Amino acid sequence: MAIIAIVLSLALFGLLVLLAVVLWRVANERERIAAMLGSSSGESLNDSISRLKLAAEAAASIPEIKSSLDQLVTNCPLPVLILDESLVITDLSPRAELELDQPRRRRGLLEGLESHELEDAARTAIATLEPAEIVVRLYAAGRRTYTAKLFPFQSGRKRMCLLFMQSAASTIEFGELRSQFAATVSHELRTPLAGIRAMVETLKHPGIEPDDRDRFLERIDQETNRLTQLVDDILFLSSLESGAANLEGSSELRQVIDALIEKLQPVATKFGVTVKNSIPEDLVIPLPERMASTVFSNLMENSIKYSGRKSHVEVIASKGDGKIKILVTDDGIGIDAEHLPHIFERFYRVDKSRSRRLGGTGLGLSIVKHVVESAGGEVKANSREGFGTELVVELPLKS
Amino acid sequence: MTRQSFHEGLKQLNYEILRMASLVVEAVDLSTQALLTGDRKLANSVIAGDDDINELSLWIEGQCLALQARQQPVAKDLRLLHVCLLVSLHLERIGDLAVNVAKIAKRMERTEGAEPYLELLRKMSAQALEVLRQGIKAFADRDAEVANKLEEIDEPIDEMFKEILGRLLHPSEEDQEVASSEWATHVALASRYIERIADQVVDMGGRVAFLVTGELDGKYFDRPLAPDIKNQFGE
Repeated sequence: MAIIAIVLSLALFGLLVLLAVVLWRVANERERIAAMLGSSSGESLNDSISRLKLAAEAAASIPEIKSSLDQLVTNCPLPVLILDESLVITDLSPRAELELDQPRRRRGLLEGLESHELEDAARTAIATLEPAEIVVRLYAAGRRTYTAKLFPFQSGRKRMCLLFMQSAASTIEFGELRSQFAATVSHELRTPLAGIRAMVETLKHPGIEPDDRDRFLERIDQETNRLTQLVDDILFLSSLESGAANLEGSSELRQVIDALIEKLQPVATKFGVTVKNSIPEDLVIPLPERMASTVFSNLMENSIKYSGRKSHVEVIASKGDGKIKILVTDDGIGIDAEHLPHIFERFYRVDKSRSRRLGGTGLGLSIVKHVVESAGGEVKANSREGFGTELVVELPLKS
Repeated sequence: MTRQSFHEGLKQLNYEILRMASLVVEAVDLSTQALLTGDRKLANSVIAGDDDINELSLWIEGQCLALQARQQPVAKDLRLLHVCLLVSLHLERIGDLAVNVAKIAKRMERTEGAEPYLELLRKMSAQALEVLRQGIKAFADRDAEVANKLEEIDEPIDEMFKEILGRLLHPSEEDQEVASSEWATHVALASRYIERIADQVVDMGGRVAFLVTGELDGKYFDRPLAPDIKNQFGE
């Protein structure tokens, strides 16, 4: 009896141990399944199934997302590229192919756009999944400056990055232009100053001949006049740019031109040029007298000095299409086609040494352009070498 | 080292060369900008940045040696390692020349009558940058055709260099003052450095053409090689 009791007890104990093992295995398996489904061990199976369903729905919508992304890349008006985790270009917009010297799909970003800075920024953006923005100069795109906007995102188990490239020319190149202008201005000021200094040094020499002394004093006088004119022109341009200059008002053009012919007569006589005023009596232009005088003084002086000896300068005007068209024409040597598009740029000189010798500041035509455009008009030049030049000002006709 | 890690090593090598090339392009551009505008800050940034280029060059040299020693590659892989080493040396030398240009930019003061020379330097710099970009493109794309065209696009640079030297050595009456100044020495040296930058790229193109074709005989190598050496490098 005792033996039977012992055997039964042992069997019961064995069964309990077996039951415990089975229960432990079941619990373990449940945790494993839950872990596979991505839930914590405490999460119910129902929760896990819900998560699985959501994941399946997301998976089902991936082709849709992909198709939207394809459409975005194809239709984006900006250069846009898609990068994978290894910074390989997986797709790019037609604009990117056109503007960025044809980077190719399945090539690295560094090979495609040739910028180590952009490569570094993209690597960091993908590693941190943080959007980033960087300004880069792209030699692959003709040395243009771009703002690169990086938007990294998770796509399934992979990381990708959208890269938008936006031309930053307007802001960056403006800064470059400004420093270039400052460098040119300081050069323009330094050149006559260096000349004056050298002549003063020579004048200090006790044995200088009276004739040489007079010649040097004359040159110093010319250079200081040119410097004064240059400073005046720079200040005038600056007031035009800041909007401080007064452009309100009107003037009778024939009277303005008559006064200018009288003022410029000594220059015209020196160059053997005749100047004719063919403006009608009652023509009124939408510029105050001082501005009109500045514009046409610069245009006429330019024609007198650079058209060549014995040429004829004439100022004529016509009305039509809501505009007043004023022409300063000459029958002189003309301007080379290579130089013509640049003559209204600051400090642009067709013949540099001649221009300085004749006392030009290099800012006259630039001032004309500024005043005329500020008054809503337009200025241009037509020329044919050997036949002459016409400088054309078009101003809106006010009712 | 397994075959797979060897190819990973080559891939990394290629990547670092392109990275170095990007730094060198920037150095050449900024140094010539500094020269033309007299921007000393820009010139200093080029001089300071040369350390990064030198560091990359040393890394590439080490990697080339390590891969050759461990794998003893033949044919195209051997050519690739050999050319990577030479390309990195050419790029390093171009970086040094850019530093030379930047140093001149720091010393050069603008002077009366400088414009025609600066205009020539501007054109030379733009063309040298284009030659450099095409040289790197030839390496990146393994394009022998582009590599062989480098000599042709380098020609205008040689012509402009000769023009600058000619004007300085035999100045017109108008150029007399400029040609006898210290400034003239700076211009002559700067134009020589820019011309050398483009020459280095043309030589680099010769290496790239060899990488692609496996052909050592030809215009880049004067003496024909022994057949056994040729076989070692061939396909």
